[in-house]
Amino acid sequence: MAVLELRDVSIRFGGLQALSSLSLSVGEWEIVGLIGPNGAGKTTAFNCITGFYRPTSGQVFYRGDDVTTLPPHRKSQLGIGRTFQNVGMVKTVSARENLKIAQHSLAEYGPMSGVLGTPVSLATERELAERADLILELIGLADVPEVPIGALPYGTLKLLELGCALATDPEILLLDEPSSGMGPDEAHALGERLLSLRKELGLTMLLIEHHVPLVVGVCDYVYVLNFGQLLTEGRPDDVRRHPEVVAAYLGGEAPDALAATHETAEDAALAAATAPTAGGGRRRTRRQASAKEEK
Amino acid sequence: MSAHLVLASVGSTVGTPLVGGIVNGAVYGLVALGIVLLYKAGRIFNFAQAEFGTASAFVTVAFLQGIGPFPKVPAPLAVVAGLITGGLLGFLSERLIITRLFRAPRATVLVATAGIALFLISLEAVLLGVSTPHVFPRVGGQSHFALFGTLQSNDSYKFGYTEITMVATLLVVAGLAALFFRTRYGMAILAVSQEPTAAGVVGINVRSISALTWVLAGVLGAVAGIVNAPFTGALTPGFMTLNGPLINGFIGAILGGITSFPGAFVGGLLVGVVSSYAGQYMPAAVPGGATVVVAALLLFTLLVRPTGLLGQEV
Amino acid sequence: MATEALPAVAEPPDLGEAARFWGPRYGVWALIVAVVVAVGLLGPNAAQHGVVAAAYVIVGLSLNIILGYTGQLSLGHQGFVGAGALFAAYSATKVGLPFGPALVIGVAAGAAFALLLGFVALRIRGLYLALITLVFGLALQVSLFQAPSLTNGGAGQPANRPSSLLAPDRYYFVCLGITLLVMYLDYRLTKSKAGRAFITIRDDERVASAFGINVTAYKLLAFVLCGATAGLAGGLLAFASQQFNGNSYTFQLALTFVLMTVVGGVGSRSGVVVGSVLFALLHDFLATFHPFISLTHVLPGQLSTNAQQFGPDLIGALLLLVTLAVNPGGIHAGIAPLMSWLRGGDFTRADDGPASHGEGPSGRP
Repeated sequence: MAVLELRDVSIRFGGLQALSSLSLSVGEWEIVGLIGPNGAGKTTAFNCITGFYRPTSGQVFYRGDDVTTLPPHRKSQLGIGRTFQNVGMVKTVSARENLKIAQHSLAEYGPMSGVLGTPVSLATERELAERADLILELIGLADVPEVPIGALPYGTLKLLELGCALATDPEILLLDEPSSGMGPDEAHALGERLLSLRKELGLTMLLIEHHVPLVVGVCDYVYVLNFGQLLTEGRPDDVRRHPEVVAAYLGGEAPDALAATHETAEDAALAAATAPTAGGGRRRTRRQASAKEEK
Repeated sequence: MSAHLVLASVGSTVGTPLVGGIVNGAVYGLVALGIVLLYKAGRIFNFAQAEFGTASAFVTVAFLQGIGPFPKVPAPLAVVAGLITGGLLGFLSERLIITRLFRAPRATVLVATAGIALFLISLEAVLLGVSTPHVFPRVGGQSHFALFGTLQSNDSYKFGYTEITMVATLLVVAGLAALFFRTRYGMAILAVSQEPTAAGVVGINVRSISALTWVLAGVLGAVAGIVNAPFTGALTPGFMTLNGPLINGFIGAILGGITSFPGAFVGGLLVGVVSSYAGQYMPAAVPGGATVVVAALLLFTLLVRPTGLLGQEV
Repeated sequence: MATEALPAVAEPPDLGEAARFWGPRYGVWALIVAVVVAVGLLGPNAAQHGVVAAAYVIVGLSLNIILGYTGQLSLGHQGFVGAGALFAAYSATKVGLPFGPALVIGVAAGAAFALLLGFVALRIRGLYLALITLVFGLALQVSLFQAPSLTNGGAGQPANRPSSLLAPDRYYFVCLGITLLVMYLDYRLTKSKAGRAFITIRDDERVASAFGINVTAYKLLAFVLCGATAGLAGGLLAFASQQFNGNSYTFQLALTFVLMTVVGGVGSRSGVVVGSVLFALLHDFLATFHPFISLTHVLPGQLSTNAQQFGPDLIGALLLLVTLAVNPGGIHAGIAPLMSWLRGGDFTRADDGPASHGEGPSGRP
């Protein structure tokens, strides 16, 4: 059973058909890419999945249950984690505090018991702090300074945001342009990190990404959107040579688009290097949902 | 019942509250115009807007009556002195306080404008006290608009403050419209309010436009204060801020959609008329009936149409 | 999040870490405690002022929840405080409840009215909501607080203290205890999931819900907590003057509440406490301030009387404007190094300012 499935999802804003009849599915332990030129409806699709938008028609299934109309916080609690295109965190507090914020649903005490400082709440708070440190270690930010994160560089923020999404204890992670603001080396490292996260935490991922080497390097399968419609889908290497994809990108405005038509050396190398782990069949279910991070 | 009595009763039940409401509403509308102007110009809620009016009304009455060190001067001069006071207060507020809060959170700016209002109120109290009544001299016969109800006696028609208020308000509204759509200054204010950076790029001096906007707001406040003062009777410190014009002006501005000048004025009028009728017809057992009705009106409008009646902003 | 430890209530700072600095620190702490205690021992007048200051601190913390943590401006706080005062007084005098339960009724009344407003806040935001709170407070002020059946026909509702608390100094220490408790609860709030949820909602509601925070529920909770604390302060004020008078809870008072919170430093507990105490005492302090009195003697006749009566307000407003013009961060920014030092940190360490200066309400609904 697919972890996440969209069936004929359409959404309309006034006269604009932002998504028309999009169907996609993400299987257990897969990393699926969602690509397309700017304005193709990628983030809109994310917002439909996570409950920020309600589709005009169509359904969203999570592990076989119809979750189309659930509010965003319920979806987060179910295990659908996400990041935002322009960094979604509280900028006035520290990285550790943000990681505690993100663990909101894991803090199983009532809000008033926290205000009264009951032993349960105090013990839980200590656990949250420890877990925040663990996550920082996991994403390689163990030595991040205790300052409001507004002062940190953008690349660090994107990484930290990934950490916050992990802190919500997701089963599927929706990443919106995780490599934006990163250089090629950092993006490469991010790719490695996503692959190792999948391995260690048993995560399933759906990512919006412009950085082609990263898509090719980590994605098992790719959906290409253009003007709210599914242009094509398939293995990354097949998709990037698809004539319509090339045409869409050339007609679009994404600067990375050109890279998609010119196979750079680095690109190919990354694809080759990651093939053994990233390749594999589409309908693979190597690990079950239970293979999650231990608390 | 004779036709005359029917007319008289229609006059006193419908006409008198309507006229009273329009007069109050005109004052609220003027306050609302100033609020909208500063909101458009810098996203500022100016809680000192009505107090510019109180201070100006005090200066005008001082010149009219020749109180203290003030010489007694003809009415037009006294009014001009009041308007200048309003403009000056707007200018000083902008230069001394508001420009320093350029980067501050909006709540802080709002508090600063409230602080300006409180400062002016206490200054008035220190200079004038609260016990000495300062009253505008009577003009003409009645300060009523003799439309239906008040004509039943044998009074001949005389102009009073009601007419002055209405004429003055119409002049201000027409003047504002001309300013914004016919002059470079008005265009510049609108340009700065919509795109400050772009306005600066095309050579508009954003700083001086901001000061000018506050001067204009101060003058608008002064007009509101001066036309409201005769209906207030004895003027007390802060009468524009504490007795309704400020809050009803805000409600009018919001009802009108906070960014629309016509909307603000119509909203102010609406608040005036609605609260006038509510004051007349709400049962006496409900204290503060007019305020409750206006509050309900505001709440209902915002829930049904969050951008206000004429608001454009999404 | 504001992380100040508070006198006598918060977790003591780590002693091992900075033990060698603790000599002078204990001295300053002791001084603060001594002043706070001395207020109760200096006679009924001082104690009465202390009671008002304590109640204002609670109001300031209440406003800080809504303005500092959730970023929503309330201009109608006289409504919540007044409702707490009215219902506490009514239930004490007309229903005959003892002091404690009457106070609880006041808390419940404040919370109930705030919840009502909270439902509106789910639909309306920013400065529009600030205006709604203003009108809401005003509506309570002119209708409920004047209702003949609740206020003896407008004459006011007596709220007599029990004989055990009749002495102002005793009542002061009760109020002080309650205030310290509220400060502690506020500290716990900022250290628990609810406080974190509030600041996340303030920053970005979408991010909050992506983290699994039920935005609707926590917004309502913020209003309820804010209203409950305001109601508590109202109850204490009613018992302080031993009556509820509807004319005391005016729009001007609501403005004063907002002023003291902002001047104190929105989002900062210690700043808000200092700001609230300052505003509670400023008027009377300036009125008895000798250089000021001698100044009023040189002024001519009527002006002198006016200056004596209203001069303190004038100076208060002036102080406010100067504070804001010189330092928009409020008192907090000024005392931050001191607070940091008192907590065992470095005196010169640059504080990051109130973690949560509410990027005030946005005008765009």
